[in-house]
Amino acid sequence: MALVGNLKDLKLTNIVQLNCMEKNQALFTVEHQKKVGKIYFAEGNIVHAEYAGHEGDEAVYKILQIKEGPFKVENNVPPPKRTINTPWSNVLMEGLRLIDEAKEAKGDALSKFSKELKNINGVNGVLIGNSFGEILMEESIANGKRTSAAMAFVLRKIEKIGRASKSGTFKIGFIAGKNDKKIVSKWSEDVVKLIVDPKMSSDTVEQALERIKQQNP
Amino acid sequence: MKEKLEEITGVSGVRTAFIYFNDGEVVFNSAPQGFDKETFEEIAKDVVQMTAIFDRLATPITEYDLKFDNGRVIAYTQHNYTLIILCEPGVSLAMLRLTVNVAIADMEADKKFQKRVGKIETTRRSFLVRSNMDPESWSLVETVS
Amino acid sequence: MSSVLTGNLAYLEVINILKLLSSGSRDGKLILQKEDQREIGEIYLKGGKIVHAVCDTYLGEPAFNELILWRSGKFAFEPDATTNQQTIDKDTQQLLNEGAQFYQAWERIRHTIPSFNIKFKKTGQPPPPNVKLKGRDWEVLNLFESGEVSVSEAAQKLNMRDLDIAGIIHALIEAGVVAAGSLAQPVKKETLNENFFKNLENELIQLMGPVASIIIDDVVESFGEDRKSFPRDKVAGLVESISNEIYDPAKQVTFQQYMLKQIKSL
Repeated sequence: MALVGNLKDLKLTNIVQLNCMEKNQALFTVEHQKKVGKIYFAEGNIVHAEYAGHEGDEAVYKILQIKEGPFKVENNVPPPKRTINTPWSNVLMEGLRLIDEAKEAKGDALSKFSKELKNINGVNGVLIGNSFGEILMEESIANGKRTSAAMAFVLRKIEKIGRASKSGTFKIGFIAGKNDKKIVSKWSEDVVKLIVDPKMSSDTVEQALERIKQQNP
Repeated sequence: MKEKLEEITGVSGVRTAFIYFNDGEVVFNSAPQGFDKETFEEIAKDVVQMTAIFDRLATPITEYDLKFDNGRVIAYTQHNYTLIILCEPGVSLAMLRLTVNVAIADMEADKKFQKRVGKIETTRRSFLVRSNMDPESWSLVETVS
Repeated sequence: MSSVLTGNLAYLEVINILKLLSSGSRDGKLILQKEDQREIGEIYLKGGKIVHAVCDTYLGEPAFNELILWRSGKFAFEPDATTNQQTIDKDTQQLLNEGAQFYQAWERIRHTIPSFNIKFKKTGQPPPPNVKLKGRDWEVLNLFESGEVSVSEAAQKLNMRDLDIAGIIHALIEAGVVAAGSLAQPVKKETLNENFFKNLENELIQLMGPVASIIIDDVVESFGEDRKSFPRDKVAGLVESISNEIYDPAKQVTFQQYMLKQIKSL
């Protein structure tokens, strides 16, 4: 085995660069969410790739999005076919550019969503995090990082409770303490938490939240 | 205690109600089809874990109202016990809250209940241990702590 | 969120509130909350101009026309709140004038025509001799030949405004030629009796003193109801809202215990 590791420790761009500059004939394989991605190197370039039903450049762009997963590089594996003719540096550049574009688009959507939520009457703070506990967006939240991890945890628990109690899919949760009220909801795969003025009617905020979610798929 | 649970279950839209004491005891009247003591315990532990996480954030929680598309789970968390109510989505919330408030006040005024609750030494915090959950949840707990 | 203007729709009409707000050159949004807080609507102003209205699934003028008819619930004005939506282009003065006319016309007929979706039917009686029906009236009356019709349906068929049709049907009802159809009678809701409120008030006075009566009135009003005809199915909400006004937790519990017993004996 020429190289074994995990993408969270070594970036794909480095691996590609290495193999191309060394003019290796090699096969890079990575596993992610039960799918397998393959990139074939030969004569100093990427010559073929496959992943999740895609081939060629498309496959490379998709594999570039993988942030974590075990990989191995095997030497002297000939490629089964040739689907990529662009120089490796161009392939990488285009792939990274597409990733940036998507991030920006998501960032804009997120920003708009978050601002609309903050504008709901009675909402004092907004936190949007992903299921890994990372903050995506926050407005007026203290302790963002810890809160975000807590919300991801809470969502997992809520969904577990939903299954155990045979209640179906989670829609929205109202969580109240002595002096504050929080609303927890999902926005596709992310967690949304709103800090709400306790005097505000839950129904009103819920309706406004649903309306804004519909306008921001 | 059981009469109070009976009253709560009597509210239109309530499927069942039970109390979980932090030392592990579960009190309920009769479990509906498909539910048993273990299911209740599992649900209760998840609620306590959530509450413990909010404790860590210094925003203690007393009430949960979780809406799902096929049901609604309402929980009241006190220091040493939790009251959990499983409902239909269209439960009469105002009526339920009124009944629960009165039931909890009555229970807590009862000397036997006070004694029972006073004996409990298990903290909510102790529910947040690695052995109680899957690895991803545990790493989230570590980030919060 | 701070507001400078809040109040009860039972005392102030939406149109008048808007006249007040548009006379300054303010930015802001008027939030309307109907009855038992189930519906909300918003009207946005920019520099004193009404630029956007939203209510349920309606936007723009239809939403505006719906919102100005709300007569019970609460309102709050949030200065400086903005939106980038512009769903109303009409000149604000004109909008308000037309709105006021619409509201007055609606006031006149809302007792006979509580909703544009309720159906009406012919009574089969001829109009009394002193009543002269005009061309338009006959057109509308003819629609009833094929069965029961609602105002919205009639408006669509004749390509006229709902309100104009409603006015005509109102006249036809007054003339005894048309009456409410089979689905028109709303189910008579069970209401709380006098005794209930008497007991509630006595208990609350004991716990809070004379201010109790005012609190009960306020809460009942915010539900858009009155004591004489308070619906039975809202009783738990009423008790909850009132008990939220009791600051002493022990007194709150006492009140709730007492009221729970009252509700059970209803």
